[in-house]
Amino acid sequence: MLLFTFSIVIFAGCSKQGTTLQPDPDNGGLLLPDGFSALVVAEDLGPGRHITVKENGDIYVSLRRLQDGNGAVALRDTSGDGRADITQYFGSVSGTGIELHNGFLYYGADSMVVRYPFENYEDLLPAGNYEIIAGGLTDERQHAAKPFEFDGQGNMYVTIGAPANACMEQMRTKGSPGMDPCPLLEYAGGIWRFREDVVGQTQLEDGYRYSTGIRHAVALRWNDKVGKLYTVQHGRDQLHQFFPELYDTEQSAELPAEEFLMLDDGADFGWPYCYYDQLQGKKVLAPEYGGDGVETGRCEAKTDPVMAFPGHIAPNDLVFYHGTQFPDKYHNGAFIAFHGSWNRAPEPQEGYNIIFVPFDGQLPLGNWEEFADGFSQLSTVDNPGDAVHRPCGLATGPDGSLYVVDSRKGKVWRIFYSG
Amino acid sequence: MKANIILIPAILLLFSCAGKTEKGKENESVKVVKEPPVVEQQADLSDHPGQPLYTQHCLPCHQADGNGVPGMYPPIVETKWVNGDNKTLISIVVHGMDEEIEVNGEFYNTIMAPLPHLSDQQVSDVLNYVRRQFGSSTEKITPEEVKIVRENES
Repeated sequence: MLLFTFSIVIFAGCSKQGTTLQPDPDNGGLLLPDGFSALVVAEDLGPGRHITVKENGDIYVSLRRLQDGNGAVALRDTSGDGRADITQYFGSVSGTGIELHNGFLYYGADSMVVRYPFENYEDLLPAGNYEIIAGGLTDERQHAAKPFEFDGQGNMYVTIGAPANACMEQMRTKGSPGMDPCPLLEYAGGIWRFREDVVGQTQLEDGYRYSTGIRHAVALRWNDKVGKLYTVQHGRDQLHQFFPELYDTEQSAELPAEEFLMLDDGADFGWPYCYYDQLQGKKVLAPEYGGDGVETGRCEAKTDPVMAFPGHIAPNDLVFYHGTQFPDKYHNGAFIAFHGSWNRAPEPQEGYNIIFVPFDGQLPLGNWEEFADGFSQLSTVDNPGDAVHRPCGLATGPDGSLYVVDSRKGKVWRIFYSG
Repeated sequence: MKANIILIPAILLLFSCAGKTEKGKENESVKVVKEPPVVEQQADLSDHPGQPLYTQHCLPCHQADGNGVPGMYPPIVETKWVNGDNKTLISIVVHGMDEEIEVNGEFYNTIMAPLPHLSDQQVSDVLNYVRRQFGSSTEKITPEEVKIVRENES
C-alpha cells in the first residue's frame, strides 16, 4: 500500500520539471520568504561542511570528520522528486572545501587541497585516488578548514586561516601581548593563490600570498559577473574575556564585525592589529596592540569591508546568485550562511540562518535581509549545543535552486521558488 | 503522503537520541559517584565565589549550561575530568590541555589555553563551583592543592 502510494507520487513528480518540485509540507522546518519552498534532499549524512552540485544534479558534501573512513558523500536523485535515492560515501580525507572543476572533484582537507578524477564525469563517484594540488598547508587544530575557489583563468585560491585568535605571545591567554610583527602572517591569516592544474605544489615553494590580514574565512567565492574574489571573515573573539575594562559583555557580543571582504591582489585587511567596529564604522587598533576601542593608529591604512555583520555569527559559506529561477531582486546578489555564534555568551547567540545581500556590480546595494531561518528549531539560541541544525554550506544547482547543508547531523535542503 | 512517511522516522529518531543521552548520563554518574549526592548540591549557587569566575573565564567557551560548543569546546557536564581526580582537573586550568578527547561520542581537539592569571584561591573557587554546578563529585579542591600542581607541572 505504501509502495503503491509512493510510486504515484514519484510519477506525478516526474511529469513536472524544475520549479514544480513538490516541497515538504513544513519546508523541512525552514522559514522562508513568500513564494519560496524547500524539500529535504537527505538527512543524517554526518557532520556536513560544504556542498556542490554537478550539472546533472548529483550532489557532493564534504564532512568534518571521517564517517567509517570516508570524508565525503555523494547523492543522486533517480526519481526526479529532488530527494536523494542513492547515497554513497567515498574519499579518504575529511575537510571543508568541495568543488567540481574541469572534470575533477576538488577537495580541501585541512592540510592540502586534492582532486579526484572521474572515469566518466557523469558517474556519481570519482574513480581512484586523489592527487595533491596544493600541499604543506598549516593544520594546527584551530581555523584549519581549507576552502578554495577558482577564477576561471587557471588559478585556485585557498583560505589559510591563522591558528590564533589575536596573535598573542601565549595563545588566548589574558594579559599576553600581541606579537608585532605577527609571524603567523608569513604562512597563514590570508588567501594564497596556486595553479589549479599543477600537481604537487606546496605553499612554501609555489603559493602566492594574494591577500593578507584575514584571520579566518570559510566562505570564499569568485563572482564571475564582476571578476572579483570575495570572502567573509570570522572576526576575533573574547574582547570582554581578556579586556573587561574596555568592553562589557554586550559590546563583546556585537564586536568586532564579521567582515564581507572584496579581495584584490596585495590587499591587507588588518588582522591581528586591527578589527572593524561596525558601530563606529571604522577599523580600530586591537587591544593586544595597544588599542582602547577607539584609536585607529595603523589601521587607517588597512582595507575596509564592503559590508559588516554583527559579531561572531560565523559566516561559513557564500554564493552569488546567477540563476534565473529566483525573482529579479536576487539576481547577482549574495547568499551567506551563518553557522551561528558561540562567543556572544552570556548574551543570546545569533546567526544560525541564511541572509541575502543585494548587489549592484561589485558592491552591496542597501541592507542585507534574512532569507532562511528555522535551522536551530529554537526562537532563541542560548547555547550552541541546543541548535538542532546549523547551516554551514551553500550551493546553487543547475536549475537555480539553492542547496544548504547542516553541520550538526548532515541534513541537506533544496530551496526553490514556486511563486 | 511521501513527506508523512519521512517525518515519522525522523521524529522517532529524535526521541531515541534524547533517550540515549539521558541514559548515558545516568550510567556515567553511577560509575563516578561514590557517595550519594548531598542535599547541599541543590543549593542556590548564585553567591558562590566561583560563579563570577566561571562567567568571566569559562563560560565564553563552555557556555552557560556547561555543554560547550559542538565540535569545538567539549561539554563539562558530568565528565570524567570534572568528576575525576583533583590533580588532573587543576592541571587543565593551570597548565591547559593539548590532546584530542572524546566526550559523549563527539571528538574535540581544540587546545584549551591555560589560565595562569587566576590565583590559587580563584582556581579552587571556580573548580568547586564547576563541580557543584555541572558535576556530581562533592570532593573539595583547596588552594594548597592548586599551588602544588602549579609548581610541579609547569
